[in-house]
Amino acid sequence: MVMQLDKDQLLQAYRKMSEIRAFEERLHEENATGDIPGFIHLYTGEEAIAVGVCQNLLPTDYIGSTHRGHGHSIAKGCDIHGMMAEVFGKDAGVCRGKGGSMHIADLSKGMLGANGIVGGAPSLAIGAALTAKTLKNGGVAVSFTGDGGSNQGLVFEAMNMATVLQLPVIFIFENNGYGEGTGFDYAVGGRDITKRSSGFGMPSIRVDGTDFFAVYEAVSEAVDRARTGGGPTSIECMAYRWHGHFEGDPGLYRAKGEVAGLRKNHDPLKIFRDKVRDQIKASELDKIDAEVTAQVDDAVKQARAAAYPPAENLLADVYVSY
Amino acid sequence: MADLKTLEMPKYGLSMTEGTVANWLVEPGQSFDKGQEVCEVETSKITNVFEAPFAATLYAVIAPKGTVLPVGAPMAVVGEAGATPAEVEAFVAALNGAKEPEPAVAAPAKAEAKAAPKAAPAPAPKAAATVAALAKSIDKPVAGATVVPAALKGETPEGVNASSRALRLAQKLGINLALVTGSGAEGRISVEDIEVAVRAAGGSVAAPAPAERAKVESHADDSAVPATPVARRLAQKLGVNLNDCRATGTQGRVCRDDVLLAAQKLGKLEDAPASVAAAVPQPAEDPVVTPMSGMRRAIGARLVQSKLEAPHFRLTTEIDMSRLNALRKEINADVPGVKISVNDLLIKAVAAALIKVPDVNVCYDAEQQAIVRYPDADISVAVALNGGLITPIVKAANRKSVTDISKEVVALVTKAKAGTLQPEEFQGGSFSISNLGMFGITQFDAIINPPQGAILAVGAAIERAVPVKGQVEIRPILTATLSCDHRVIDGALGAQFLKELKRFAEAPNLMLV
Amino acid sequence: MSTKSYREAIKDAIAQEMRLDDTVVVIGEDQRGGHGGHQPEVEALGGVLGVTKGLWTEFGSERVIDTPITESAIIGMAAGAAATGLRPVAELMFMDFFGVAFDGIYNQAAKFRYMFGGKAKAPLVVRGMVGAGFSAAGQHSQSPYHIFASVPGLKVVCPSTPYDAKGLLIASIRDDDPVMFCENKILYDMKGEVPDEPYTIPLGVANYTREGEDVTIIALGSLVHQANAAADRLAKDGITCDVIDPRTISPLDETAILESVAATGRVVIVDESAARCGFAHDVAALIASKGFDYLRAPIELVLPPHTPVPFSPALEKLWLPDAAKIEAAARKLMGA
Repeated sequence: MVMQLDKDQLLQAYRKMSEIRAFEERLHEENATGDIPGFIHLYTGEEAIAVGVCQNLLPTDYIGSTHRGHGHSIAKGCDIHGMMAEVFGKDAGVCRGKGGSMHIADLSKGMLGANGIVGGAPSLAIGAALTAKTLKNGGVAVSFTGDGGSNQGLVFEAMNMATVLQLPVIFIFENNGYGEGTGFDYAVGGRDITKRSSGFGMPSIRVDGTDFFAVYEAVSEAVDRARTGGGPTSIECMAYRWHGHFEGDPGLYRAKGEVAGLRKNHDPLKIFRDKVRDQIKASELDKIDAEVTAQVDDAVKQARAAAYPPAENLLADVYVSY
Repeated sequence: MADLKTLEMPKYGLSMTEGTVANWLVEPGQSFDKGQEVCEVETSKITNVFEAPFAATLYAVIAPKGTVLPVGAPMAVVGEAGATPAEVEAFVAALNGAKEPEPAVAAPAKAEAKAAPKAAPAPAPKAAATVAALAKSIDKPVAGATVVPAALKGETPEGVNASSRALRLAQKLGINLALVTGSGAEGRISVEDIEVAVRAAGGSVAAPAPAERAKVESHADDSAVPATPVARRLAQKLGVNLNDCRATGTQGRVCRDDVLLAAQKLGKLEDAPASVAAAVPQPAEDPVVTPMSGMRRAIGARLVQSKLEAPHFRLTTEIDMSRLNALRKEINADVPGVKISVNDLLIKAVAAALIKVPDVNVCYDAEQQAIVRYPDADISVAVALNGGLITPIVKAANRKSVTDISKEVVALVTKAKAGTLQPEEFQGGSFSISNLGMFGITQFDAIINPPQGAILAVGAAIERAVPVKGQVEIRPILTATLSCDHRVIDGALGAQFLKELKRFAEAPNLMLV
Repeated sequence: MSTKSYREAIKDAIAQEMRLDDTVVVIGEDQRGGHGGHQPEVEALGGVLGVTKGLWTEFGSERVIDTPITESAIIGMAAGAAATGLRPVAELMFMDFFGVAFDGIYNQAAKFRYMFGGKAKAPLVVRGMVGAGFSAAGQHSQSPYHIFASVPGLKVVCPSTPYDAKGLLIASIRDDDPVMFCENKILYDMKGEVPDEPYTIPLGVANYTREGEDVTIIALGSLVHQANAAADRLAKDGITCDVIDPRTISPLDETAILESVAATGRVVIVDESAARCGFAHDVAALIASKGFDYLRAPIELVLPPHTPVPFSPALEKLWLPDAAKIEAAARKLMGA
């Protein structure tokens, strides 16, 4: 598998994962200053999923995301400076400071939006898939949903619609073990999301979501199927959430030492580094990390210095015309 | 010159505005790594560990343990290795000298936040009042006040996009609407547009006439209108038709005040009070409504359950505290570093009485319909908090020395107030004590803390004249009231417990044998 | 110009827009009907009341998309499709079913543009039936348009005639914002003059269906016809009325309403959406806040009681506002 990707592609994948890591860890620190309004949900620990999926997609393909959407946005190509400014509520943000962390969207990059409604992405993704199917442009759509979101009725309706209409869509279920503060073991009846999706009549597979290559391979097959009219696929990616549900969540549902164990044994970046050791020198990856850190530093600096939206923006863009 | 910066009070969660530095885990002079635990920060809800956002050396603590700081305020001075004391001092002085106490990085952002709303007021929704004003003036024209300039005169051709009212007005005033610019959807001309055009062409428009509200009086049959008997009689007396009254009474009925108000409006109330409404006393200030906290709701739910389900009965006894007080003085004088309270001794006495009368040291198990008796006296002590109370447990008080009990109570109360009690420290317990003596309360009843079988309500010891061996003596007398759940403890059993408690408290040496 | 029913006018509008624009698709339950049944090539239904009958025959399954009974996914999919390049006309069948389908419109489509900083649009029409009078009982007779109108980002349309239905629907399909298009089911067979060629009626422009000087009556949908009947009867006694059909609730033609109130000073608002917090209360608040000085009498509301819509025709007749109730309210305002 490692061999199918050329070195440039591997470096690109690592850069994206590094960007997500740096962005989220920096937000963890910035949030503690009190200067970031609202809720922040961090994606650290799940980098391999977003990047493993989006490395298979074209800029014209669409993704729908979750409230934990920074990783998906970066993986799909959203501008890091614009995202950082958005999180700080500034006019320079990708959504001009009107969406914030939970609603980062850039349709020009195929990012249909982070979504504050748990289980919100699948029905929008089947809509994007319907557009691709109707316009016959070969596009595919991907929805990201968590293990918590997998229990929402609308997710089931979307999966059923996708098989009935044979839509080019891929349902990614990011199983990070917790829906907010409640364990997957408790909340997901049957404890297996793939069994549910296969019940709707689509190929379903569970992969290691901390392993970029496992995700990449499964999604690659699903994308081929979707682009050639083979209909939807469901992929459950098993991973771990390093931070709380939101920043400020004391994480009382965790075992002692749980997070330390995750950082040590389930770090998607470390796992990636181990797998490419023979092709890529560690120093090359270190150099990427340094570049990314500088980029995120600059994004924070610019976001902090940027202006808040002017008052007239309050009434702007409710409608195209009214 | 070493680079110095500050560690600032973090923000945990949306609602956090300030925090208390609970403990420093790194000493001045020590270095720490990124992610290392530097200090504990306590909020109203939780105590969190503050992790270092970067590696550095701690040079000076600005906020010692216990300091309350707003979010973003500096807690400590840190920096790379090698800073001299003079550099640190200068940095701290500069911090103190700064007028804006907020961290330097945050300052520009905050300033913008304040400036933003001033930048430009939100555009007001298009006012429609003037439209109405003009239309009204046309409806009741003031003679000579509306002057239409000749330039606008003419007949409106077919196909001009104007509102129905604008078309009618144009016809009335002989205005050619083709000469008026419309501002509405798809260029529709409104009455207001005509007004603007008339003024622009040098004409004038009549000022709005004062509103004339007709006193419509109903003459319809009002026998079926729901009304209170008093209102109906009053209406008849005043000649008011009930159809003209509002119905603000219960069940949608017209009530007395409604009739008075209608009579006043219709001029049928010659010497009525100026305003009926004014007669109703108004509170000077609105009451303050605060949503109940989770803790308040939990207290409410548990105690309602207890009061509704557990059949309470109460037994009261009086305890002469002379010897217990004397013992306390002796211990505090003889044992260095120890300062026990009367309460600590009472906990010990209660524990001893519970072991003596073990059938009071019980809980009620509703599910199994069983009485659970405990081998040790795990005593829950009620602690008042801001906006609530909590009952941390002194476990196995019967096996602990008074000094151990005392130290444990201090630790538990501190944790309770800091919000760091672990669940096992306040959940469980076999018996509760609630003491309101420090507030001067002499006697009260407590509600049982379910599923426990009993709670002791302890009042203040007050000096009273009591007969002792035929003589009147002044003795400190404490009143203790035991509330029992009759499902698990009967009257005689409760009485036996109080007798033992009184015996131990009045002769504390018995606790040693 | 030819005579068409309200139902035909709606189908006419959709068909003409589908011919003009390949991105217009119809999504809903039984839009063709018969899929998976025993007559696989037959257009079995054309919408449950046959409104879209004929569209599948002309445009085929790729543009007339039959879905399972899954309102939530219909609306969610339509929202996603609208954001990515289609102009879906989704059918909710009965607007009552918004109760199982609101997220896609309420939290998603209505908020995309604002939340995404003006960089998205959702040109989507959700069609559905509203209105009592059909003995359809509590879950198929409601008119929840007041709830839609309270959501910023949505437009809400309630046509009362075949002419308005076609012109407003074409305008709605061409509009770049999400539109809730509320068809009054008891008007489907109403006939009227409708131009054959496509035309639009701008959203946000009210229609005066009667003109007078004494009382302003405001009504929507089928109740416009009840208000007209009341005005005609009052006119015989010399009481003349402006009857205003706002046609769209959001945007609302405030100017048309306030201009009339300023002249008459007496207002009757008729509605069937709700006895509390409904369309009538919104218009009453508008008049009270911007036209209070011109009122000569309290605003009269002619509304159903605060109950679900009853099934039995005997009760439903009592429930619905009608011409007699409107007339009585107007006479009360005139002191007669």
